[in-house]
Amino acid sequence: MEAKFPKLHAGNYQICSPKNPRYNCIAYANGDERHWWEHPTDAGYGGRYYWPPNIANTLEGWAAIFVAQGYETTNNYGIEAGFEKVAIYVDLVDLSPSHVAKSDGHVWKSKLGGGYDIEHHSLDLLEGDQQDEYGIVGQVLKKATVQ
Amino acid sequence: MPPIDTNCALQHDYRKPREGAYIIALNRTRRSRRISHWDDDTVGAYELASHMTQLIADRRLTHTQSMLETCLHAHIERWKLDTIHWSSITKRLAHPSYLRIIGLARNFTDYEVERALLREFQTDPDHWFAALTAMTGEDPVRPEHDFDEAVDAWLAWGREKGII
Repeated sequence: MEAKFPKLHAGNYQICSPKNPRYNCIAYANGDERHWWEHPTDAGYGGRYYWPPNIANTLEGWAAIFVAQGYETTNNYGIEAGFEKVAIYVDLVDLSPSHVAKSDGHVWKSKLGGGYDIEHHSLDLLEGDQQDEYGIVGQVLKKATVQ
Repeated sequence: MPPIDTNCALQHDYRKPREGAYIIALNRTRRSRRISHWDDDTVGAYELASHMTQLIADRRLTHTQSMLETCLHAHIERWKLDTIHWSSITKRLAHPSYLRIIGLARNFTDYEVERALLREFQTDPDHWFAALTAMTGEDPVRPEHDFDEAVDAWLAWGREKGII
């Protein structure tokens, strides 16, 4: 995996699950491990995918999914105890959403496409334009953790 | 992973000369039927040559089939390796190996590509739904199915068709 994400190395991330094609990063960030979330205009190819109604496949659209759940935009890209966060990455070429990481207040967690769930120390470990890197974090949202 | 030899259309290169050879052989056979004074040795030699030609053609076909199967499995592995971390199905399905796999189906005569993808569902499931639909024109997956149910639906389809 270090070959695909050159900033990852032993010590700054760990694998938390086997590879799993059932769900992707945005499904994982929404607590759904049964469906691959894909915008409907992009996913009519015989597979069955989920996408929330009336949500555009843009950074603003992806952010709206979380805003509807009580998240608010923040400029703090770090982990904050007492707050759940999601970070939406965008592709450096077309600025389309490419990935979502989530934090429970202790660590960042990501589902890497159809591959592993991992925990990673910071958001920048998946940023960049090399190999499978996801571009750059376009927006971070947070909400207080429910006690 | 080394580059895949994507020259999977070789079967056509074989087929064309074979088709041409067949026409030549057919014309010669017709001509030979008009020649009544051929002796037994000539007829025997012709039959031996005809037999050898068929053997070579069969061997070429087997070799081509084997090359295609190698190519198919190389593209399956390439696709999985290249796209596993991609979050977009759209991007994953547009990968050249995914499209090539769909294209390879026309070179096989007994559902070999469909069988290979259904076997993938059994051993290392992934998003082969679109490829199977593109190759077969069928879609046994219902709107309410999740990933596992979609896999099961395709496997049931494969068993019903006698493919697996």
